[in-house]
Amino acid sequence: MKQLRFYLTISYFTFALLSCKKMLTLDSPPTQLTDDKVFSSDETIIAALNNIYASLNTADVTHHLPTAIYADDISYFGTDPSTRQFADNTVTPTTASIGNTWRNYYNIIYQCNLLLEGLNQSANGVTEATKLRCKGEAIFLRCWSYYLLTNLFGDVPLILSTDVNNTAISPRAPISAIYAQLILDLKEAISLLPITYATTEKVTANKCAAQALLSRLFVLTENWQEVVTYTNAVINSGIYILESPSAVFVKNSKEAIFQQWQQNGFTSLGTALIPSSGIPLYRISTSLLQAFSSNDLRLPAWTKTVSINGQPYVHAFKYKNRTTTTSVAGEYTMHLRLAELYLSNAEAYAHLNLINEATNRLTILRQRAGLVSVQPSISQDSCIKLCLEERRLELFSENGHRFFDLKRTKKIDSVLAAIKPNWKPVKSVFPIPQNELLNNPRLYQNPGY
Amino acid sequence: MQNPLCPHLSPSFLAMKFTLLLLTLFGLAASGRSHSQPITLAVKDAPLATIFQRLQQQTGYSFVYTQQQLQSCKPVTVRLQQVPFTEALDQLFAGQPIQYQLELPYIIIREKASPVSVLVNSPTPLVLSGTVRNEQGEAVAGATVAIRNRPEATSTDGQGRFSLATAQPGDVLQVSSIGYQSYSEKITSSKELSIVLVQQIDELDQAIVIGYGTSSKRYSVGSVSKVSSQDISRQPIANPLAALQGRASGVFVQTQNGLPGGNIKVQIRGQGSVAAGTNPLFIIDGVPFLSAPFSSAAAANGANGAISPFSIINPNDIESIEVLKDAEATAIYGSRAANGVVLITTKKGKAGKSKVDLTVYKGFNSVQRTVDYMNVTDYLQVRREAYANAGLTPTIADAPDLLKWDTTHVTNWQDYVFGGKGSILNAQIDVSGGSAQTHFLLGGNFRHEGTPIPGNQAYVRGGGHLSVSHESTDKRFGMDSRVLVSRDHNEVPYNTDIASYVTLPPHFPIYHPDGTLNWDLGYNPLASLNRVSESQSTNIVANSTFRYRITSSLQLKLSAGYSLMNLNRTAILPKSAINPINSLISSSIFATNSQENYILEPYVTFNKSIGKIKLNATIGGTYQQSLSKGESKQGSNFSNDALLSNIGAAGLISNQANDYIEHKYVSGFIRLESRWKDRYIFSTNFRRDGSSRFGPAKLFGNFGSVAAGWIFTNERSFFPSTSAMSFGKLRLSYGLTGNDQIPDYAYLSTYGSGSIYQNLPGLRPLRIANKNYEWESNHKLEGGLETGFFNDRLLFNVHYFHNKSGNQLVPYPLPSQTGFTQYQANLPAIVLNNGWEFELFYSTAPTNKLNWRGSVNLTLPNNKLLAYPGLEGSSYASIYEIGKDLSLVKRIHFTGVNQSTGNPEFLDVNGDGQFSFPQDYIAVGKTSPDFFGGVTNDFSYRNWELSLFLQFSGQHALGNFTYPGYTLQNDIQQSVFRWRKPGDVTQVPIPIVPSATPAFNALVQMPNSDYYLFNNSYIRIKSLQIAWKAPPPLLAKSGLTQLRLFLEGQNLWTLTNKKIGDPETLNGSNAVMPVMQIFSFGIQLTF
Repeated sequence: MKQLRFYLTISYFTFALLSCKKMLTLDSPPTQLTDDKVFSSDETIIAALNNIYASLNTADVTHHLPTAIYADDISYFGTDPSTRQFADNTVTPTTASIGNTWRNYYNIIYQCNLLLEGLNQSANGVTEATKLRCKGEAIFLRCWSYYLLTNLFGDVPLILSTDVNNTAISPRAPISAIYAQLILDLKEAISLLPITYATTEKVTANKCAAQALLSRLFVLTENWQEVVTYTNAVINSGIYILESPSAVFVKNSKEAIFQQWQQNGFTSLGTALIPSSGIPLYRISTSLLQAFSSNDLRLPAWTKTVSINGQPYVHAFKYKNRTTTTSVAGEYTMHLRLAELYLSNAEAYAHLNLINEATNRLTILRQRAGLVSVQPSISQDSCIKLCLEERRLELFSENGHRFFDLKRTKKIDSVLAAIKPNWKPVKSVFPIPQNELLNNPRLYQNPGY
Repeated sequence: MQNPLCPHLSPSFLAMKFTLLLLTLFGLAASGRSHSQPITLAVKDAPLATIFQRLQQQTGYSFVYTQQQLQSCKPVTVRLQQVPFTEALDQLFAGQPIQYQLELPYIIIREKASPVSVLVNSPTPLVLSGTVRNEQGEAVAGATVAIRNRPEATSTDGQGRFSLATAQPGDVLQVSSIGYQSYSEKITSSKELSIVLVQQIDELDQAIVIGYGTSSKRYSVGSVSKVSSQDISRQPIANPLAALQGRASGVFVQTQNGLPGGNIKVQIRGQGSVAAGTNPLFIIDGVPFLSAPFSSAAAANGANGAISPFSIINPNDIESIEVLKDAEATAIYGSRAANGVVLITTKKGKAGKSKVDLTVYKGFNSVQRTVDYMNVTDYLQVRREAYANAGLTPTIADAPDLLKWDTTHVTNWQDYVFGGKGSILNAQIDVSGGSAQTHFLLGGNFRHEGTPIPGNQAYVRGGGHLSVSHESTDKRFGMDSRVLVSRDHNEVPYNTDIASYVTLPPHFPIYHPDGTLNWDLGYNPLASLNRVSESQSTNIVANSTFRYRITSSLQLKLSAGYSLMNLNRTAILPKSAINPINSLISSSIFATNSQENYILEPYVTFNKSIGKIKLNATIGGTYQQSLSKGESKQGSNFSNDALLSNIGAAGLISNQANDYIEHKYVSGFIRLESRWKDRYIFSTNFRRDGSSRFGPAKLFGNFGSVAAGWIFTNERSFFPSTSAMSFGKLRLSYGLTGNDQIPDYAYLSTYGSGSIYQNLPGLRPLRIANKNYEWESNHKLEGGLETGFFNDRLLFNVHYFHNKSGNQLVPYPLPSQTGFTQYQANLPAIVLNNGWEFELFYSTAPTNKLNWRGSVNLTLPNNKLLAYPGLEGSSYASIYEIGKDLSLVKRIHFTGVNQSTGNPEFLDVNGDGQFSFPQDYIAVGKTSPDFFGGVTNDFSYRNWELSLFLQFSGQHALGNFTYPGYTLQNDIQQSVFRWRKPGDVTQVPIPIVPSATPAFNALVQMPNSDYYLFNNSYIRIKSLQIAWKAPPPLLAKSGLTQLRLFLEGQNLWTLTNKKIGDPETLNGSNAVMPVMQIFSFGIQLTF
């Protein structure tokens, strides 16, 4: 009996070990920060937010230039197979950069959702102002991502949380539902964000950036009254001024509302569009070149002609730096600038048949380009047409504007079919990347792919 | 000879001896309950044997007797009710011709002293008593102590003690025990004897180390292979893992780089995991050891690649390496046992006279296998044709080999890169000895190994080994402590590219005529040699085991261990190694890694015999903690190249990276083993493991096994003792083990350093945490037939294993809408590894002249991916295929060379005229071995010994050859048979330089084809040793106890495909240093 008791004791101690979960508790690794630690101080929250902005740069390059080639801003004359797919409108579900666009923006959305969830739970040690501002910026960045995803792919999954069990099986949500969400979100962001920027630079979102993005959504949904409201809010804020064309794309230009910070003072657009030598492979399209009047000041400021063997080749030259620039003339990628708001504002007034207001805005932009003013006597239709023409000249090769504008004005098929042999109406949205379909059976492919 | 395992069947004297022994073994573990325990017994006309059995059941005491002794006894009728034990015995023995002697827990039965003749011959019987111990100083219980040619015999008790009172002067005392060589000594007077039994080299009965205990091949129902110190010491190797190659069935060992420090991969019974690690669990003296090279040092890697952590372990400190393979043997290691377990046990001191062992050998290494490359004439001819076929004219810029270099100065680049000889010096000194209570071993070792690469690179290792064992005089308390300490320094060229210079054009000049270095190709071998990768490792493995015997059957044990491994690696990349057209920025890379382990394992062992059942139980727990740290950084902008190894002098530090991994481990385990009538063996293991590598909800997992064995040759009615088959065992085991070799912290949602924005570092979410993943499970099934013939001189074993790994831990593919493309999760993918293993051991009967022993092993493995849901969408889509081997090679299939154009042709699966992925990529082969094994033969003749070890493998590998003429690289000799004109029938396509031609377009598909899949099966004389032992008269004169001279060769000869170099290190496009051939001469002294 004594022995039995002894064995029992031994067994007990042995198995007592097993229930001792405490013995298995680890300190979090010093090379990583657990979520709760990230959300316990201003510095770490801002560092997490900074990473989202940096991620935006990676995402932006996957579609910024490709959409300009896909539409009719830039003609590509090179042989790089992937770029050719955009130039020839032959992208497929396995085109790498399309998969990258999807992946990068959804990674940004994940980071935003994680930050928003963290901020909702963040404890003491975080100042209220930081909390509110970061929340506003995270919402802005999430909206920015959805704005691009919907314009590129059509209906996409609307992911607003980080729970992988739900997000992995989310189906595509209709654009209308996504826009409704974005409008709500952006209104919240506007209320959260201060008008001042977080730093001395304009590389983070402020209230005006959110208003500008919201105006884009109202343009897309043709809610012209709201477009007027939000574009005017930015124009009348008094903190942005139209620069002379050559000064628009430098870092912290007075016209910039939201720019992408670049460590080395140059943008990937500059690297791609400015040839290192020889004949430029990316050239301004013939139709765009013809649309400019010869005395347009934007032509010498934003394009450059290279003569090779007496033959002129015109390439885009909005960004002047193709490699590292340490001087003050450093450049940041432009996401939002005042001129776009003037154009949206004018277009909205035109739709509301307030031609006087519309032509006023157009005249300001045209005067900056050294062109004659627009007569307020023109018809509503020609005013709208003029707004769109002016928009093409002003915003060429920027942010997919031309592609998105052709789509929303439903002119895309007539315009692109004329110059692009492979164009079909189904090509106005990109295919859903193949791997996404494989890994989420609830997704379906866009028709025609 | 009688089978020792089956008592009461033979009347012969030998059988009696063994019966005694066996009964003693049975009784060994009997408990020490008071012998005043009352007895109740009622029998009528019962034979004494039956009564003894019943008493044994009641008391736990063992009766030691022979059938012979009982033959003249009368049956007994008795009725006892609560009678004291001794009183009961007195009643039973009354009137019998035998008497008893109490030596609890034994009752020794003797004949009543009546034979007068003995007494007449010898009026003064001697009283012999003493102890029997083994070489480790442990008591040998149950050894038979007898007088030759006489019936007197006894056996040793639990403390190894015996006494025999009937000997005469001139008698020969014989002591024998299973697993030991029998001992005999001529008796002249009464005295206290201290007898040391030497372990017998008997394959079946030699002890094998298993998890938390020992066993023997005879009784083990698990699958364990053993490599002994003898086998290890016959090879002049630096890394003990190299000794496993070809020695153990089911264990595939591959040297991944032949230079000192190069990694050696060990895979037991195939790759079971798709994504998780496939390294076995390595345990040195009870302390888990690193299973794979440190990863953080990769940036500073040298020509030897990642450094094998085992390169710092001195092979000569090792007593044995046991490889545990099946569920029965491995399940006690639970979650870490899926890939098998390798137990390394270091040497211990032995009781006896203090002795010094000194072994020194000196030799050299060199590269054994070289490939035939084209000579300069053929090379130039091929290059010219390549231009002509492309319709192009060579220019100085793109063809300096044709237009610029002097074609009369030719270098054999294989000779240049690794044609030298590195010298090897290895010295080991061990001092050992001690009393029966305390013994020790103190060893020191030193090794210096050069390389065949030009320059003064060398590997230097020094270490010490201390082992101390102690046992209290009452034998209740004992302890064993072992410490291994070593330190090494290694210097090799930076990066593995040095080996790729063998394909330089034969007339490539290192210098231009003006004396400057030739950078025409953008690289220069001499410049590369200026880049150095230097590494220093320190290693400590310490373990102490304490044991306390509470009763004769119950023992408490505590094993406590600590290990520390440290690796610092620095790569120096001076300006002189940089092509001057690049910016001449010298730099250096600094990497440090360390891993520390603590382990504490209390456990209890329990041994008891109940009737014919022998019960063995082990119950215990483990607490383990390990901490790994790594750091690497690159320094540049040094003011002077002389300061490159000083990070403080760097103007710029970049590429900083560090990692930190903590791991805790808590488990409990139990093993129950029972043996019934020495015929039927059942064993079961259970382990509950908790590991911090898993999320809070999945910390614990249960693992276990069941196994059974049947020693059918002990069924004496079917296998009489005279049958040729002396041993036969059938066994079957099944169990569940786990694999936890996955990235750490994957259950934890964390941020790590991210991208910079506004010059501030960002924080990036590192992963989608999954709190729900759990162990990969590996179901192991094994059946085995083990047989012995001709008194076990010939053993033949066949094993079949069938291991299914499921619940695979993979980077589970996610739609990227979740934010990430994968997370750590379990996937119901299944990998099957099955196969056959054959083992043959043979030895001649020991004689004074010629002795021969040897072994053969052969493994026929098979690997198959049975299921992988979602394979198509995963990152493995291009690598794996359902139903195929995990080492599958998916490429386009080369169908031959077109006779009229000379273009290579490939199989166009979908017939679209293009060779695109994945449509045209088909399964063309695999790189895992089809079969492998080894053959060992050891001969000794008088003072001479010869041991020869052959090792072989049947396999394919991807080679890394360029195609003829394409660029400024030499090609293998076979290229002289290239296609030259229409009608040529050849397998070597047209030489052509890059051009817009159909031929070139076809040629660029070559690297994607199976053209480079070679049969690289090989058979190799892995080692050969010839030794001479000084004869005793010579030793006596010199005062030495042993003098041995030996000549050793490693990797002496290889039969393999002529087109490839070393078949072991051939690995795709990575040119690495081949395994080395080593010759050495040495001397071993003992005094």
